[in-house]
Amino acid sequence: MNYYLKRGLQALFTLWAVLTITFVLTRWMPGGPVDFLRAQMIAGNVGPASGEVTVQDPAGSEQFDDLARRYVNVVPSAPIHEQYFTWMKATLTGDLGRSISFSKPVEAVVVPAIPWTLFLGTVGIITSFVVRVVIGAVLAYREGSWLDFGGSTALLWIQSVPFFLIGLGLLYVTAYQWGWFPLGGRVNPDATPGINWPYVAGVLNHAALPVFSLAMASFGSGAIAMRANSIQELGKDYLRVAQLRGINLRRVTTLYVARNAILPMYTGMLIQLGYIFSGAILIETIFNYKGLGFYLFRGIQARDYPLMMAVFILITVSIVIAMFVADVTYGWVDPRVKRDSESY
Amino acid sequence: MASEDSNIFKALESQSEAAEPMSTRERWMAWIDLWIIAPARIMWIDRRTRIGSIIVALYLLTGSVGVWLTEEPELNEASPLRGPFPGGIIPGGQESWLVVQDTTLLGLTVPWPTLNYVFGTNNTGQDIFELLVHATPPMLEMALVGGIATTLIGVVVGTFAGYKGGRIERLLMTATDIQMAVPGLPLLIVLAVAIEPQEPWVVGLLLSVDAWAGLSRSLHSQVLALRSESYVEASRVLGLGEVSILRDDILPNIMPFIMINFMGNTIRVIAASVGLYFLGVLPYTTANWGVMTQNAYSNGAMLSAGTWHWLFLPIFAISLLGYGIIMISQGMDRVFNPRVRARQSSTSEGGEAVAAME
Repeated sequence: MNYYLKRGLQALFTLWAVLTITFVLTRWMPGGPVDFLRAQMIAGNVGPASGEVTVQDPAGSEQFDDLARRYVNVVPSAPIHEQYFTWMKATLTGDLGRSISFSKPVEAVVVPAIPWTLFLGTVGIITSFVVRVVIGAVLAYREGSWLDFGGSTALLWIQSVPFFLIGLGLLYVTAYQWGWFPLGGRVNPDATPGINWPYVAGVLNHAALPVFSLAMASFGSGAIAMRANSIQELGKDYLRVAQLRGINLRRVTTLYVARNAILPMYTGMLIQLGYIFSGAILIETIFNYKGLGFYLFRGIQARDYPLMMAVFILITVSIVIAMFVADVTYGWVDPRVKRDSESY
Repeated sequence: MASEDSNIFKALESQSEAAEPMSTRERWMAWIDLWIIAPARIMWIDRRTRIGSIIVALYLLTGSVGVWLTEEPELNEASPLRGPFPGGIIPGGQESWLVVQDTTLLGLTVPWPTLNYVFGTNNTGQDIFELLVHATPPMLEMALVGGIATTLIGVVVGTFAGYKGGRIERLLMTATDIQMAVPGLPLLIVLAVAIEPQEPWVVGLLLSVDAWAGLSRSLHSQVLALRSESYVEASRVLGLGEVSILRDDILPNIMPFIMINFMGNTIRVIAASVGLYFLGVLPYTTANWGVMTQNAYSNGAMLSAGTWHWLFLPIFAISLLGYGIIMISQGMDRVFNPRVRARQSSTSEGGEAVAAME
């Protein structure tokens, strides 16, 4: 089968499976969204004016069906397949339910936040990738030197601190104590949005610490892996041949060694994408950065299940898409995988 | 058929035992030598595993004896936000962080050191040192249960898929792919909010939900390669059972990889639990380093330079444990290297034979 077609079908299947899991969680998780809404309705916090509701279990009543339909797209008393199709149809057409704490459609809350998280995520991934490739390669070329020893030790230390705690420490030192960076937020409130220097500078200044902390998420282990890959590659026979042919050393290091050592790192990005989006929850909470993760945190605090499930779906879908893109481009970066379709 | 074959092997085994009788005690000694003393020696020789073992042993000691020696942290034990090392780094005087008093122990009067707010206090006047110590046992329990559960699921799924092949392989690997696509932290958050786990071991089990897929995928490809090795094929031709092939032929080969992964998983469980406690998703049932960090973050430790100890000491406790485990796993490959191990085991026969050959 065609490589791209196969990967596309795989991505679609994963997407379907993930959405189905989300539906099952929404509908049947004990203490989950539907259970929670019922409890809230009994307490009179949501739904029709409290006088109309009987204190008995409202499950099965028309009012409860209507309420659950509005908030989480589930009609609890309908047959299972009907519930499933109602939910799937609503989700696929972009209706993610209604937020309890913001009392407006979830899309209206989360959609404006998506670009900010994407911005943090992509810049974080690229920064971390470039920095760790460079540092790993430098340590590999100086293998056995003091630079290598000190660098490797420092990398192990960095690896052992959870990245969001590195972020927290940096926030304390550089923003709160030294005042180099803003304490939180996304933009400079005084600047007018648009392409002008004060606004752009504000965006960059606010994003600097979150991006750096996100990049730390896989930096230590990644740089160590790059160092190991490069050392392995440096011992290969084709390099000696290249040297004997008198090829320029710089050309050998950049074109031959780096390319082959980076390849395995590219696969690691598949796994990393998920980490970055997950990590955004903690980072955005710490830095008060209003992206998807921040709203997930707000959803947790207010037990706002519709909001939580919506962000969960959005993050999952972005990861599936990102993995698909990485998969397809990997075939382009390393043509060998297209021929050997079983190696994955 | 299979049972007959294994009878033949048993017969062979008992023959070789008859030729070289070994008492139960000797066999135990050999086992201890091979699996405990020799690895311990190798771990001590390697600088990284030595440092790592000392650090992890320190935590184990804190979690067992330390909890018993230090008092439970209480609210308003002392004035809030006292700095670390009261009375100066060098102890002296009654206000110092280290006071040596005479106590009677078994009828003898001996000097006994007492620590007084050595790491200062937090905003509610709790002793930070006592909080750190009493947060250790639940964290160790969580990390151990989570690490074991994650590794077990990953090994069973990956090995089984790789060895069986066919429809089962496709099914298990699809499940693995889906698990990899589901974002770990959001899933854990949704589950944790609904389940509200109280016990540390339940938290550990919960955290294993999102981490097994990576291990099972890489084990799958390793087992795939091992499956066609000649000695595995030989066992299959002899009609040995699937379980015994997996246990005796496949597992020993991937054991180093599994062990190193186990260490990685415990670190991941520690980091993830701290993250969840920091977000306030898990109920605060015990003292916890993540809860301490969250407390410091949201109650004003960020605002003043004088409260650094409140914020950074729990972070340091988390990181040092992680560092210890990483250092052990860094040197672990040497422990599993049969040549290095043979050189270190002295009493067992096989060890000497291999050592003599080298």
